[in-house]
Amino acid sequence: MKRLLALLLVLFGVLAAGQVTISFWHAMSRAHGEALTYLVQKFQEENPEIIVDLVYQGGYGALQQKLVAAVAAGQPPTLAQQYENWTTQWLDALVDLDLFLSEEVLSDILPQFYEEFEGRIVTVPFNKSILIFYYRPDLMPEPPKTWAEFEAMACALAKDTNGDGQLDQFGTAFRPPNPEIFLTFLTQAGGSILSEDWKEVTINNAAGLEAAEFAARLAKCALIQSAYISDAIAKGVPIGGWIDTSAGYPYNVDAAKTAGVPLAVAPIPCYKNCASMIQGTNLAVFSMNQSKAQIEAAAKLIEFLLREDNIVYWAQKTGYLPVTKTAIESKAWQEYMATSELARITTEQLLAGGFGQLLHPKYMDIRSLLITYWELLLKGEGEPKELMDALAAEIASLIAE
Amino acid sequence: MKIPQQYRSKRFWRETGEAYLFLLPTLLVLGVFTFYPFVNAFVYSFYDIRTRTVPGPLIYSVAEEESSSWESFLSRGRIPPELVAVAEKYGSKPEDLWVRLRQKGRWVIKDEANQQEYIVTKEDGALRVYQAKTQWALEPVGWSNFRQAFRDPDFTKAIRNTVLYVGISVPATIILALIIASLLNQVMVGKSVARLAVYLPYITPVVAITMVWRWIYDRDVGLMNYLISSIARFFGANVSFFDWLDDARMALPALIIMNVWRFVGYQSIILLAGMMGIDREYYEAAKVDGASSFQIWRRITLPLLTPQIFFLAVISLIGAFKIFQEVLILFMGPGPQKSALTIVYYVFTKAFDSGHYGLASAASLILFAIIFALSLFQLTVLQRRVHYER
Repeated sequence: MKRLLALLLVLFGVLAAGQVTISFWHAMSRAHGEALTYLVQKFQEENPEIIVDLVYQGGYGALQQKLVAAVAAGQPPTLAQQYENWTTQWLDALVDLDLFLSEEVLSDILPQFYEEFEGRIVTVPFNKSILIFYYRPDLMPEPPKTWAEFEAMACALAKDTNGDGQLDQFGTAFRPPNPEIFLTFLTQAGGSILSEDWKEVTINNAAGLEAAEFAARLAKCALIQSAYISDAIAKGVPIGGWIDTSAGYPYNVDAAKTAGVPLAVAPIPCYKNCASMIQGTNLAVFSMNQSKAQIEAAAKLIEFLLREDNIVYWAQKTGYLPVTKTAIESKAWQEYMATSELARITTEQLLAGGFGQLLHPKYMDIRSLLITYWELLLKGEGEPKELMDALAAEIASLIAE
Repeated sequence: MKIPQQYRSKRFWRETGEAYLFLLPTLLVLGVFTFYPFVNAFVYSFYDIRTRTVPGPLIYSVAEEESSSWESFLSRGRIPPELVAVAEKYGSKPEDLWVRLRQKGRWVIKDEANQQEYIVTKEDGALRVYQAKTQWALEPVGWSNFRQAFRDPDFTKAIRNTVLYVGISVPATIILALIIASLLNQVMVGKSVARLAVYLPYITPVVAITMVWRWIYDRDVGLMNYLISSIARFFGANVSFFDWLDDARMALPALIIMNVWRFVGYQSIILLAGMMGIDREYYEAAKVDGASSFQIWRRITLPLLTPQIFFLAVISLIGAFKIFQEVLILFMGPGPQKSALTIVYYVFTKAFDSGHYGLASAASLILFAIIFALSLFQLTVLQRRVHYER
């Protein structure tokens, strides 16, 4: 009996010695969490020598706070989901992924998702969504294709039905905490926040002004509220069509069902181009307190998650975008697009002009300013030119600090 | 030196030791969750904090003719043989070394066995090797975080909003609580039910309360707008709906109304307990002297309630300055045009949205200074007006 026990212990020791454990912190709940758990289990079945400690840390806010604390304590997880502006806070603590991922994997990532931080590749895209156009076919039979159509349709729908001086039916809707819509207008007009070398603020040039004037005109026909647009839809507030992230699709569908109104999706109206802002998190690997074997195991998991079949599975189960060329061109995804309107629209939108966040280290401060001025613009608290100039001046002083 | 008699007794030391033993659990909790963070916030406010690979001692300067070979190795993620030799002198084994970061003119090599790092940097065209450590690094910036806070229009707005909120909500709650407590003191039937009813908001979780108030304040289907329009219609007026949650003029009033409602019950109960503790003889004597009900309330009840009012003023002022959760949940942000941005909300966003931990610490210290000064004022100047029954 003793011999058997000793043998088992030795066997267990030998097996355990060959194994490596990595931790993966994420913020994926419900169906998204289930899809991720399935993929990680599949990975472990294929790689029994790697144990993945998959830890759901709550929402994005909770995940960020826990990562901040973990990095400060020198005990971050091996792998974590993170937004670009978190990444810039602990860039030095991350591993350069191009040292561990094959060239084949990296070059397969769609250029719309490719991001470099100070010349380093430290993240790969994971759960990505994009801005699309939601509309009520009963109010807006055809979605607008251009800015001019959007403005004409939205303002024709806006009505004060009870004569109290306030709109009760809206052509569109905007949320002040969501300046990504303004950035989409800005990019569609050919503008940008900063020049390519980040030395000059360009948000108030001719393109910026065009975008601001367009938004200000639309705002007069729009519902402006800080709560999600789906809240207004669920209450039965009539809104013709609005721009929102594809990640909000389930919420908008539920809201339309609650209100008993039809809902459809389309690519957002275009201007000089059809740009649309991409949102969502990336994956990054921490080097602090990790061994090379753990880093290699994390890189193996990333390669697994970026494999064509797994990306297609992830995108189908979650509604997020496929992030690699092979996945988007795969037969499985093409067939899926034929059955899913959301998949078709988001893919079209991505390929038509998906663009990512400005990777400036002070982007979160810049975004805070964008929110302030986007709200002023939407609420008509100033002329577009005056607001754009003031915004540009504040951004300039911020980046000069 | 003469040691006082009491310190010589063994019993004194035993009892003191026992007292500290009982205090230990609380001291530990306070130490870990209050004093330690407070001291750290004080320290952090003078630093710029972020995760950096901080170079330590210079251990090797690369000869000019070797530089291109080093760069060629490092840019391919490989360790130059000369670097291996250098690292070996510092206790690293070749098999434990690997490149983990490569930037233009900056490479970090990790020795995983010893959990130490080497950084190779290009300075004035020459490569230098340092021992290094990646850590939560503090770079001293003097008073810069404080200056930055006062220069930030958001911070001054946060101070203005918070002071306005405190200045209105604290006295309004106490006055309303006084009225409710006086009425409750008169109620003869159903006193317990009435007390429970006014106390309920205080014991209900703030998240639940705020979510309910989001509905109450809803522009289209909210109870508040319905009540206002019903009252207006009763008087023949026609008022348009208030946009409580999206109008910059209404956000702070919305926050104040909700929190007055939330705390008025708790304060009423404290005041009611104070009223019930007032000796009945004072009232009887006043009645004999022919004092009216209002005179009795003004001349007896109110002065003898000043200890409770003072207590409520101190604690509610401190609490009101720290308002945060209600803003976050009610407006899902700092409110329209940052009209509900408070100091603690500012601290939270600076720390967790933008990663400016030093600035956030400085802002929290400024808040501490404000609360400390006001509490000191209350405890020194206002306390003189408190009448303790003797």
